Amino acid sequence: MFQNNNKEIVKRLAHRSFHTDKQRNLLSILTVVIAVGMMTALALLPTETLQVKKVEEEETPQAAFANLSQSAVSELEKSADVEWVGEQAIIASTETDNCTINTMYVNQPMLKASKLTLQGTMPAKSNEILLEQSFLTYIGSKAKTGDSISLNLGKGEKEYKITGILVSSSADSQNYTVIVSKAFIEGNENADSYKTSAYVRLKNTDKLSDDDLNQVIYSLADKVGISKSDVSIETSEYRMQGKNNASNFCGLAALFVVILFGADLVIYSIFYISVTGKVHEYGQLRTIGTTKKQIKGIVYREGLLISAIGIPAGLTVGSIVGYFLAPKGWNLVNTLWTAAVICLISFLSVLFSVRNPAKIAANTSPIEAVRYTAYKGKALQKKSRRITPFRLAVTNLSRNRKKSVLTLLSLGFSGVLLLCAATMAVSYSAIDNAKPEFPYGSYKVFLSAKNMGDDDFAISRIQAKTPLNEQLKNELLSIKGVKEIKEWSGTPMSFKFPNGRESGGTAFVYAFSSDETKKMKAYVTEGKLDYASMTSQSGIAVCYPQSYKEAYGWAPKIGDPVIVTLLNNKGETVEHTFTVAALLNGNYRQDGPYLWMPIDVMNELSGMKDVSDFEIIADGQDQEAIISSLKSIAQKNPYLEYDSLKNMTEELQKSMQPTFNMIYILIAFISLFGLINLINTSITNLLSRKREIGTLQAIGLTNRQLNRMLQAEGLLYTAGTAIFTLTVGTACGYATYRILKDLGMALHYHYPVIPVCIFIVALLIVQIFISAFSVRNLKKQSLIERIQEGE
Amino acid sequence: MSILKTNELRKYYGAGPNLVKALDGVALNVEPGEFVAIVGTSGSGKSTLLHMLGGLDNPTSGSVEVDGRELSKMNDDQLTIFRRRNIGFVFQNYNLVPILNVYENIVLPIELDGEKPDEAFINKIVGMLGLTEKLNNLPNNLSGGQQQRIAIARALATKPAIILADEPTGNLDSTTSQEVMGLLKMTTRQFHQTIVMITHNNQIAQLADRIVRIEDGRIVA
Repeated sequence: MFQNNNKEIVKRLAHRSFHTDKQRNLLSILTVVIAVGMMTALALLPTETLQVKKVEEEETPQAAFANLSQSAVSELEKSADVEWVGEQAIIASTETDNCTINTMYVNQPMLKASKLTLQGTMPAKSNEILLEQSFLTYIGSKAKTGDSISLNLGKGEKEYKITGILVSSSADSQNYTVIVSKAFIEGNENADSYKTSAYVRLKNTDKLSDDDLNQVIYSLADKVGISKSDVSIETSEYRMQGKNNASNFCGLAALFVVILFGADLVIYSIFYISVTGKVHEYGQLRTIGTTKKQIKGIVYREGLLISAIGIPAGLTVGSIVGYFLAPKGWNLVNTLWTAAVICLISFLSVLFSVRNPAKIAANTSPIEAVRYTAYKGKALQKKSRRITPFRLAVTNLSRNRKKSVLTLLSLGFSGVLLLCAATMAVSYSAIDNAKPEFPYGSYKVFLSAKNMGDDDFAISRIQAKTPLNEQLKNELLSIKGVKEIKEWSGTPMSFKFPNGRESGGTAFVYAFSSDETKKMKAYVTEGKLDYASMTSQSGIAVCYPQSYKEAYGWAPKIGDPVIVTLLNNKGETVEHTFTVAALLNGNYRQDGPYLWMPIDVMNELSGMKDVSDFEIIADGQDQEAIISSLKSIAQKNPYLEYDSLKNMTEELQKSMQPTFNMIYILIAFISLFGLINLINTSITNLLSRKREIGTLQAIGLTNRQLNRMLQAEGLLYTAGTAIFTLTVGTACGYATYRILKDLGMALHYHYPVIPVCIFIVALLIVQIFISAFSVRNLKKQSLIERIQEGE
Repeated sequence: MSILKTNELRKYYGAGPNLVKALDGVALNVEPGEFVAIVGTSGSGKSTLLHMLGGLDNPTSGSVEVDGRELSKMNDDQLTIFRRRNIGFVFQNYNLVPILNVYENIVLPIELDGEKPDEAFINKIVGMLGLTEKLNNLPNNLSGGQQQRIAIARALATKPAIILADEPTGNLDSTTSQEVMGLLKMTTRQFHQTIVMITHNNQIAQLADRIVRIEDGRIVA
């Protein structure tokens, strides 16, 4: 009989309230748009970058086979498991015009896999070649595709026809590649002596585990008659990333929780403030017969309207940003899925944040509504305290403690996030990261494997030739300004960890001398770094043990056996079991997740001096001259490269900049939440107090005093936020730094002074702006109008 | 010499056919210590007149002089300061500051002026108005009559040249109205205060020394 058919009226009331509360709703919608947009972009980014990697991966080989005969190559090409075979043969290396020309044969898939862009066609006849654009520039030739050029490619000076030009990104000044046709090889009298390498990608390997893939590769090699030692397995960044999906997902989920929490806090406080301000209205509705359920319905409906506008807008913004972050990896299905999931969680979270305010609204009894006063604080007992604008401001904030605390919390939350992200960003210092590579000097000459093809132990093979010798040392010392040469040792090794996992490829192991142990001891967290006992008992030190857990599932403990394989001076592999003797959380040089062993053990195992770099200590006078001397030394020797602290610092800075830009954009958005909340609180506060402020002015509060009172209110928020940020934020920032550091990120703790200053100054500016706006807004109405408001 | 004097006071709202003459040439003189009641029906212009007298609103033309100073010649801040020193207000809806306790509400205009309240004087007023026990309470916890007594105390506290009361009993029942009016009259007499009160209630108006009637923005008697 009393059927409550009230959908229509609830809808109408909600819409009416929605339209009258424009400022509140605009801020709520803005919050939803920012949060949803940010989540969408962040969710799309990892899948997109993975997709980009996957596309690149398909052009990347999975295995390399060395020393092949032509018949083996064609057999590989015929195999049903093979997607493509990249063929490559080094034919000759000739010197012309102070540069080296490497003559090579590669086929089309190999060219693609090498990420070289070809403008023109592949050479087919024996006199056809491809050239690098940078080579033409170097020799000052204006030759184009179709032109002829005279070159010595190991058969004396001859005319060759250019069928295409290669555009490579690497601008290695003195090494150029010329690509010839197969006919060129076949026309050569000693054609059989060219050993061909084949790079292979197999079909349908996405689902295979690493071990299974290796199995398939080895059985293929076996079938074609390639010996195991000629097989090398390429590690794939894509496959590794795929394995890290779980931790990626956790990181993303944590980020979402943070964003949603921030957004919910803002929406909650916006609604809470609005609902407590409208108790009168709800009371009147209750008096004339609106049920609790209907009032709840009204508030929820407003939440729905905000979602209905904010979520689609946020999804659109986020998808567009997501697209531009990685256009290559964008795909519709992925975007739609992401959008659907985010749509659902954001919708639920808006409803969640509206829940409590809706309850408050529904629970207003008609009587309460008439008498409702938000001030629940106790009167101050002391009557001797003076009333100043500042004291009025303090009392005002304690009027509705919950509201003030909410605003402070969401501002403080922004501050804490800011400090976490900013600590991370400022603790990354390019120079601090470059410095461990140059612990004493500013330059180094080191071994280069770039002309050695694909060989895990290339450095060991070069070390056997001792390019870093006394003669070079003297040459370096003769450079003007060079004072001292430090010799560092290390060599590539592959590992087998106690859990049975293998390193797959090699990693550099550094050697330390007994003199150095003192310096390294400062970083020991567990075990003992004792040179003598580590030498006699084959001890090894592990830097950043946590990163080994991440990469290989092995949590290093003192006493764990690690089997290492290295190449000795005769080119034979040597296996040796080491025992973990010490764990380190950093190092003064080569600060990274490396293994360290006593230099005497390393040299004994390899049967040679494993010198890997000459670090050059020089006075800072003429950097350019030193660099150009180093350059000419490196040019003369294909196994040497040089680097400088300055150059490395610049490179590191450049490579990290995009990441930091992302972090700072994230911080900016989160700070926006805080500011939105502050603006909302201040404006609602002002509107609900118009009459009271009018009274104060009528009985004698001057404009200056009013201004001071409003500014003091803002200042109290700023001070509260600043204290929260500086205490809790600093602690959280340091914790973030510690966690990342333990994961092996090379960080050096710095306090983010500038970002914190910017944040606090921005808050101050916004507050000054708000109080100025408030005074102007009040002046729009005469004192009388304000005093009589609500009568 | 009169403490309050208006000359050809006019206040017009709107323009053309919508022109409303809220006040249309009001001349009023109030002597020191006098208790004047301004009566009129709703919309007669009595509230507008009171606002002009208190410097809360600006006249379209004409002048208001309080204690020999012309209000229209002061700027906003000067007027505010003049108001807190020389004019006490009692509003129909009390207009107390909810976050301040009774004592603080009473001494607020003095404190805003940066002065120290005259404690003996305040105690006397508070005692006469029966608020001694309530000084630490918050206004919203008190009855309407009590709240209006606080407003009266606040108006008296600065020893102003004149007290302006806008329907002081408008929100009170008749018994409480009588009580509040009695207190208002008694305290103003005691401290020799000048008081201008507006009301639409003739019975209340009878308590004044002089009754001024206003109709359509003009004084009729």
